[in-house]
Amino acid sequence: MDLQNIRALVQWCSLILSNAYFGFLNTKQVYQGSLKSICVPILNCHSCPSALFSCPIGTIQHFMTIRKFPYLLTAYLALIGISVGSLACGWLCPFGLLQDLMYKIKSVKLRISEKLSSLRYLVLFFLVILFPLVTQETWFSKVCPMGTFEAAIPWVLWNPIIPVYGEPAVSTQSLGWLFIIKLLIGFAFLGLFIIAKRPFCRLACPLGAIFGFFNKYSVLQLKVDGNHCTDCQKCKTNCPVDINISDNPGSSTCVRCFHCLKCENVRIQIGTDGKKT
Amino acid sequence: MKIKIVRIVVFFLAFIFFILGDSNNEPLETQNNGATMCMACIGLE
Repeated sequence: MDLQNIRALVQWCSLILSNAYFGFLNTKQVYQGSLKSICVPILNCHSCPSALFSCPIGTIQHFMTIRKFPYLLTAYLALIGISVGSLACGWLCPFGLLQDLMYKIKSVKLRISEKLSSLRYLVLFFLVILFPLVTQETWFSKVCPMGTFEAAIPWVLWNPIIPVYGEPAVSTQSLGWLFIIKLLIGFAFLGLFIIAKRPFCRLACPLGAIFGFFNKYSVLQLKVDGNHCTDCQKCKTNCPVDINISDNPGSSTCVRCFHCLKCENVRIQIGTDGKKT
Repeated sequence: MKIKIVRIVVFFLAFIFFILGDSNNEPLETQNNGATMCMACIGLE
């Protein structure tokens, strides 16, 4: 089986396992059990009716709003980052899977500059850390497109009566401009997914920013054999985030999908420094 | 060498943070937050 087929299979399994709570059909509420104390290392909304685990970005924002430092989550994300870099982005994230699939639709294609990936750090700093800390509101969640597709649209369309309270899950009076803006952002990204490679991961994902930071330092590294590399740029053409891996094997934008391993001059190494040899 | 130092520092800090987070009851805080339907995620005002 081809490595990329295995990756696709792992991505689907991750999507299913992260959203394997079907008790919501009975309770009409989100899962409230002990697995929600665990954050998945991917963008998966914990308000999705079938979500089993918590979203790390939602959890960071929550800790900011209550003005506490999330020690455990920081340690967890740092350990994953320093071990495998952004491997979870390429192999586990359901939003990455959606972007990979939608880019296959035939259309005019747009190239996003690698320099724009710095925007992710602004999103992380302002929307996930600073604004929630100052205003005690979860600003990234208000605009998160993953929340739009996994929580907002399903809950608003379904809107069941919660048996315990005898009231609808979503009060229609609470639906206003925020919901419209959320929908607009969500569908704008959906359109971008068709014309650009992984635009959300590269422009806006705060979790990708965290893991991407560790790419240069992680134990798992990509190594390019500089003696045999002819700079043919095939790795860049195949790359789902348009990186020239032979120039920068430790790029923070890399999602560790290993598409570049199709070239015999690129290989995985454990415990090295990720420079071109 | 610099990269190895960064790795050691991160592993060390992660170990300390795990102990601090666990003693601060953070898993329960995370669970309570994740178990509540997030109004911002749904886009409610």
